[in-house]
Amino acid sequence: MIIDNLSYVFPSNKTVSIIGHSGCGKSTLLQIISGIIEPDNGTVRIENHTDRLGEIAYMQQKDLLLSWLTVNDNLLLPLKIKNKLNKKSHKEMIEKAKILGIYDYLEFYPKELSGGLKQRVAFLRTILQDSDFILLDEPFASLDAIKRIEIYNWIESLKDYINKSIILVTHDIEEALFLSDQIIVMDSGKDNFKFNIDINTPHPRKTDFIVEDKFIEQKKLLIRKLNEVKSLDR
Amino acid sequence: MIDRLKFFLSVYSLPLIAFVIVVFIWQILSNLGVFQTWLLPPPTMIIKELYYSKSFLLEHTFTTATEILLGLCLAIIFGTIIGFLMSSYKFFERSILPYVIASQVIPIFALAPLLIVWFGAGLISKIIVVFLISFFPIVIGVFDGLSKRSNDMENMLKTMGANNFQIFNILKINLALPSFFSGLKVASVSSVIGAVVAEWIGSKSGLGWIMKVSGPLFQTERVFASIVILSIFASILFLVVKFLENKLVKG
Repeated sequence: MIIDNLSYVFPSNKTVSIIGHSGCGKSTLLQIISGIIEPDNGTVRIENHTDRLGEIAYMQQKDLLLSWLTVNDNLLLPLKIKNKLNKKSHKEMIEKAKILGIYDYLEFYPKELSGGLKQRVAFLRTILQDSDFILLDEPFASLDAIKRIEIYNWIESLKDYINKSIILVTHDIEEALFLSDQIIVMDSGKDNFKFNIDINTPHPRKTDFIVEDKFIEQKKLLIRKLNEVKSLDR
Repeated sequence: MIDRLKFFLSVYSLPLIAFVIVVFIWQILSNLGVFQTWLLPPPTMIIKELYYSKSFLLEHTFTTATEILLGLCLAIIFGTIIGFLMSSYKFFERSILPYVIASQVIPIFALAPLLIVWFGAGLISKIIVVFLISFFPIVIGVFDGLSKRSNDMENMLKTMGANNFQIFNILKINLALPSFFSGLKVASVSSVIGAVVAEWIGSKSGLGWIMKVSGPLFQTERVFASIVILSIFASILFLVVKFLENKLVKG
């Protein structure tokens, strides 16, 4: 069993990162939370109900853009599905696309975009789903280090808009530290959440944050904690 | 406009040049008396035939075109329905797939005389032959296309709150379109063969009938004129399908 005896209440309107070695069940956990798979035992609850499909925006590792739709139509897809496409929501999409640097590519097809742009489109599509809960599964894994810093800044600048409960799965400690209010170290097997730490630096955070002493100290601590847990790969 | 012209030339110039060279050599050899004209008429004779018998040929082209288009439309309608049912219900696939395949291995030459006995030498027997010959690639195209799965994308749409109808509409149709069009392209060309074969076996009109009756009368230029018309018709049909494909299959 990959996930066993896990019980946790995620705080609302905060970003929580889950880090851990590959194969520790991070993605499985997100799939369970999203409602794509149901757990063999136990329940996942949002406030006090268990219906989750359609309530939680979930960005998977792959960008999963529909190749036959333009960027514009890919972005509007969640709004169309929920019948929420109107002038206001369309304008909102345009605004956010501008911030994320996607605006000039709205009429392009996914195959015409670079990997980084595709991820940004997928990210924006997830946010536009207009749900209070967002799951991100290594959303920026395929971006290079420079692009990542860029996108972190974008997310920080979006934070006021977004103000949502986010669970971010990553194996990048810096990404977790930069974006989260809380970080959980996860392991496979029993009692999966081994350790958690709060990151109290207020948002929006500046790029300098990653060279501050506090940041480096927390990074060291997390590396130590990660080394303590086993992983399936070893 | 200039760019389009350049593109057109870059795509079509080579086949056009090849065509012109072959026709030119053919004409020269005919003029030199290498071929006897009643065995192999020179291009100029075929063109003359096309011109002087145009109303006669047009009338029979209309018959053949009607058979092809009606048979093909029926094949599209029923092929899509059967393909859809086969991909949706396993028991339906299991019970019907062997017969869909069997329908394709029965030689049309064996079946056509029967159909003519049953339905007469008129339009209906021809439509059925065209239908039978073009049905198979369409069914298989639709079935294969709709059987393509993308679990990741399906899951993604589910998390967006999409119901089964929306998933079908947004995802499955679009995944299926390329293989539907592959089937339709094959069907569009073989439907022409179907019509000609059916007319050959028993009819009183159509380009297939012209070919059949003109050969023994040594009106070979008429046979060739029919072949030219059929080739042009098949090409147009294929290009229309291709055009629709380009319109509907994007990205």
